Amino acid sequence: MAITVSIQSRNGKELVKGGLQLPEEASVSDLQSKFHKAKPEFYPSRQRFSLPLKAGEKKATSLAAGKKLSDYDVKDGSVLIFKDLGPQIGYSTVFFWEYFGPLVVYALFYFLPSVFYPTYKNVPDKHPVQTMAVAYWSFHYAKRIFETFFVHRFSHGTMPLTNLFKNCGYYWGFAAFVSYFVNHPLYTPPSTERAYVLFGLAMLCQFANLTTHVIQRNLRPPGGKGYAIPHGFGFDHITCANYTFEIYGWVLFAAATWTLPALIFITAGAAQMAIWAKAKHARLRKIFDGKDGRAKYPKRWIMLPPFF
Amino acid sequence: MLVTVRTGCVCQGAAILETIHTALGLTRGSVPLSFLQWFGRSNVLFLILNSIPELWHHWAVPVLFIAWALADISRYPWYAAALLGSPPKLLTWLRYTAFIPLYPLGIFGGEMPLIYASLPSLRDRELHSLRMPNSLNFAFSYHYFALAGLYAILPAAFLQLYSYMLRQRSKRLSARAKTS
Repeated sequence: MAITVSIQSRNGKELVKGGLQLPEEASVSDLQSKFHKAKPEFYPSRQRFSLPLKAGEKKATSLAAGKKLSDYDVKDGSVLIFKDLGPQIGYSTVFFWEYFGPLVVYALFYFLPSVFYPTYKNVPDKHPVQTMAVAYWSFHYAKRIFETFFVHRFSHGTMPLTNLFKNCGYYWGFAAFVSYFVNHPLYTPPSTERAYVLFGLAMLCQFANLTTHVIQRNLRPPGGKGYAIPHGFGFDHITCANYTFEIYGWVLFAAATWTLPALIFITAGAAQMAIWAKAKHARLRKIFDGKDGRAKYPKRWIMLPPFF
Repeated sequence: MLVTVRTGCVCQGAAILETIHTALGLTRGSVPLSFLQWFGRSNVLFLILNSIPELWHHWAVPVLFIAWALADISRYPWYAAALLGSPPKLLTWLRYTAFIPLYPLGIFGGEMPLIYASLPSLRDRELHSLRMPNSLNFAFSYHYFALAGLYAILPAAFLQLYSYMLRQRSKRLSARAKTS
C-alpha cells in the first residue's frame, strides 16, 4: 500500500505539489532520497523532517534517519515539516582541517622566528622546554588527525559548513596565541627537569586519552549509530573520561611551559568540553533510565572528579 | 573633578549588583549582557579615567556622568517598582524611552572621546600592560585593547544593544497599550 505525505515548510507552504508517494513501510531515509529527487538542491544530509507541533508541545519531534515512518505514526495524508539545515560538510573533513592548522601554525613560530619576531635581532637558541613543547603539540594534533581517520566513529555524517570556519578559527587562532608566547625570544623557561617530568606525565595522558577513544570506538559497530554505556579505563567512574585525560594533559602542558596563554587555552577548551559532557551525561541517563528492561545508567562523575 | 571621578567609581563598583540581581532572578534580562555593559563602563572609569588625571578636565567627563546618571534615574526606580508590583505607566515609558538619546550620548559624547584622548597616555605610560619577559610568559597591551575597544568593540556593542533596546521598547510599550 502506498501512502501520500504532504511536505510543508515551517510557515505552512506546501513544498512538493501533490505530496510524496511512499510505500507504507518506507524508512525516513527513503523519504529523504525521494525528497532529494523532487528537490535536487536538498541532498539528504541537508534535510530535517519533523512532525507538526501538537497542542501543548514546545519542541517538535524530528525523524531520525534509521527509523521507519510508521514508527512515528506517519499515515496517508500526514503532514511533515521540512527544514533546510544549510550546506553540509563531512565530520572528518572538518576535523582534518581544524587539526592540520594547529600542526602547521604552531611549528611556524618555532622554526621561523625571524619572520614572526622581526624586531628581535638576536634570537636565542631554542630552549629544551620550547623543543619539547613543539614536539608535544605536534604529537597531539597528529594523533587527533590519526584518530579522525582510523579511530572515531561519528554518530552524524555531516555538520553545517559554517562550522568549518568557526572551528578552524578557534583552533588555528589558539595555536598562534600559545605558540607566539612559548616561542618568543624573551620567553622565560621554567626548570628543565620539572618540565621533563610534566611532559612525561602529559604524554601518559595522551595515551590514556587514545585508550578511551578506542573504548568509545568499540561501543559502536561500524556504521552504527546508537549509544552504549562505556566501561573500563576511567569510564567506570567518569562519563567523559576522554575529556578528563585531555584536560589533565593540557594543564600539564601549561605547567611544563609555564605560560598563561596555554592556561587560557585549556580553560576555554574545558568550558566547551564541560557543556558537551553535561549534554552527553544527560543523554545517557535519559536513554538508560532503568525502566522497561533498559539498563540503569550508574552514578558517575561527568568530567572532572571530584568537582564535576 | 577628583570627587566626581571617585564618586563615579563607587557607584560604578556598586553597579555590579545589577548583574548579580539579574543572576539571582530579581530583575529580568541577560546576565552576560549586563556584565559586559558593566565591564565596558568599568574600563572607562577605573582603568582610564581613574588612572589618568589629565583627563579629568576633559569636556567629555561631565557628558559621560550626566548621560549615565540620567539613564539610571529612570532605570533603577523602575526595577524597584517592578519588584513591588507593576510600575507606573510614566516610569515604564521613561525607562524605555530615555535611553534613545542618552545611550548614544554616553557612548559617542562620553566614552569614545575619553578613550580617544587617553590613547597617548596609555601608549607612553604603558598603563595596565605587561611586557615580556615575565614569569607568566605573556604580554598584553592595554593601549591596543583600548584601540580595539574604540574602533571595533564599542561601535559593535552599541549597535547590538541599541537595536535590542529598541525591540524591547516596542514590545513593552505596545504590550502595555494592548492590555490597558
